[in-house]
Amino acid sequence: MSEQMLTYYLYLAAFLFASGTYIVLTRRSAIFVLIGVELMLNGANVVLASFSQFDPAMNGQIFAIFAVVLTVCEVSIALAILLNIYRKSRVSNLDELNQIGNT
Amino acid sequence: MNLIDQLNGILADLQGVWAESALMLGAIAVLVLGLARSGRAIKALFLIVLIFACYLNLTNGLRGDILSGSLFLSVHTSTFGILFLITASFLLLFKRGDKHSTEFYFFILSMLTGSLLMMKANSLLIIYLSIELVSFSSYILTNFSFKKKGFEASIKYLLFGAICSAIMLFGLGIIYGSTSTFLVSEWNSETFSALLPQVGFILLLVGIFFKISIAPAHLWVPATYQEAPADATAFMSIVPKLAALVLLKRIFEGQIFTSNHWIYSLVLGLGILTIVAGTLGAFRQSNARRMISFGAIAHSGFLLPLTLIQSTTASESLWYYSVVYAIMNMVTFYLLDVHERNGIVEIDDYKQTSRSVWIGAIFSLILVSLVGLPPLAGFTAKLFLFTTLWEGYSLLENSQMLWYLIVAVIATVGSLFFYLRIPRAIFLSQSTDNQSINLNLSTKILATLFCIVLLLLFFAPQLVMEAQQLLNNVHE
Repeated sequence: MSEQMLTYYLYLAAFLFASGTYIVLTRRSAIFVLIGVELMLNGANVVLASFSQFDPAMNGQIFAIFAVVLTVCEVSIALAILLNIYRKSRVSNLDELNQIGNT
Repeated sequence: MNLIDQLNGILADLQGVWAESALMLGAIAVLVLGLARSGRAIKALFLIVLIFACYLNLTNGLRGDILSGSLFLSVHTSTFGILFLITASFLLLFKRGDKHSTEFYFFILSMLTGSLLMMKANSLLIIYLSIELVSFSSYILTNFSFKKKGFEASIKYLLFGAICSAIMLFGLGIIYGSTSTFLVSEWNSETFSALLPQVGFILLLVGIFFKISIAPAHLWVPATYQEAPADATAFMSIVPKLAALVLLKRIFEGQIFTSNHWIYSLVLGLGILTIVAGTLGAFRQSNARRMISFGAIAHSGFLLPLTLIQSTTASESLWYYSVVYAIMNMVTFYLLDVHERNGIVEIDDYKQTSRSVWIGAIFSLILVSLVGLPPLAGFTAKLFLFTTLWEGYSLLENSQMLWYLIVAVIATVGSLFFYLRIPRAIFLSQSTDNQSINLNLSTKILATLFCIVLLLLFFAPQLVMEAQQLLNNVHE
């Protein structure tokens, strides 16, 4: 893989991260925010995996696998909490979760 | 080096992680015991695990890089480790029903393991894993009130934390790409002279600042501290925060940036912003626990510069401030919990408590210590902090340090006005419906003991420094 290819992979990663950030900032549903976070994390994973081509030990790819597993844990905790909220109040829109003040 | 040598090297280095291994095994043991027993047995096992981990931590004499550089042990990691384990043992003083106590102590032990590893982390992978271990446990513990508000605080905390950790992971990727190493100890000022690794470093700081609750990554604090159970809050406000500070200190000890670098200015600026946000935010609160949590944000801002200045004074004052902060926060949340159990949640509710003079006086003294007035240890901690900032200003010739000092002094004076709202409500208000609150003797004795310790540390601050020396040299 050449330097040229690396640039393309980094563009892809930046695109994934930016679109994830956009989704996080604009969407109101908690599930969509989680999807946005996933995209951000995957962008970061692409960075790690593409840089690891210069590393004979391939540490970057191993790091990316760890990150994928941790993301799964994070999403499962989030879904469990959302399920509890939905059971109590039938809400999944973050704007309607306003029982506690924010400042 | 052949395989046998490598294996022997790993076996010899394992001594450095025995305490963490004991905590992990203990956490699993707590879960298994929870299948058969609940209540006292779980608490006893929790205490045994903590004492055993304490012993392993004290007898560990390894210092420096271990396990091919993935961890780094120092004076700070061993002494702060003991501080965290002792802090965790104080959680047993909180009143906690049998309901879900197994899972509660399991997650406390996981958070403790994560915090101990976070301090020792030298590889970016360990930094990421330990921060996530601490975060996941905190997200779950926030739910443990099992009320709708608790779930709400928890999902907000989780989404905020997930975004911060995604940003941090992106930063780690950039640092890895431009320095081609995961080890913090291999960083130097040359590899960080380009803009790209500096941007990566800022993104890494986002993840660490989220744990310390430095502005603007402090927004999760009030909701989480308000809705999590009091014992979980006390733990969350002390241990992960101090662990992340020790990690930050280690990263800055590498001298990868000179003291007039823009990253230094940015970090100092954010620290000032944190103090201002915490102090101003506390004025507007009507809920007692929310007010204390804004105070805790301001305290993170006070602690931050101690990680940036490389000197013995800075290390000593970080240790002293951390010990005093741990004691003050633990007893404050303990007293808040005692009052909340009697239905006293808002600051105005404290007007009803004017009959219980003794506990009111003790609570007032603790709050005076949080402000930083003599004759309590909070004053000495602030004094050391200001001395260190002045020293940093004169050593580094960094005018931002002077601004930091000025803001910190003004914020200390300002914090007088919000912390003392609780004593004013207790003593100076004329309330007609005086209900006497239900306090047993052990609560009074405990609170008094904590208060005596804070007084003692004011009159003999060298005790804390001697304790650090002692804890560090026990293994010899």
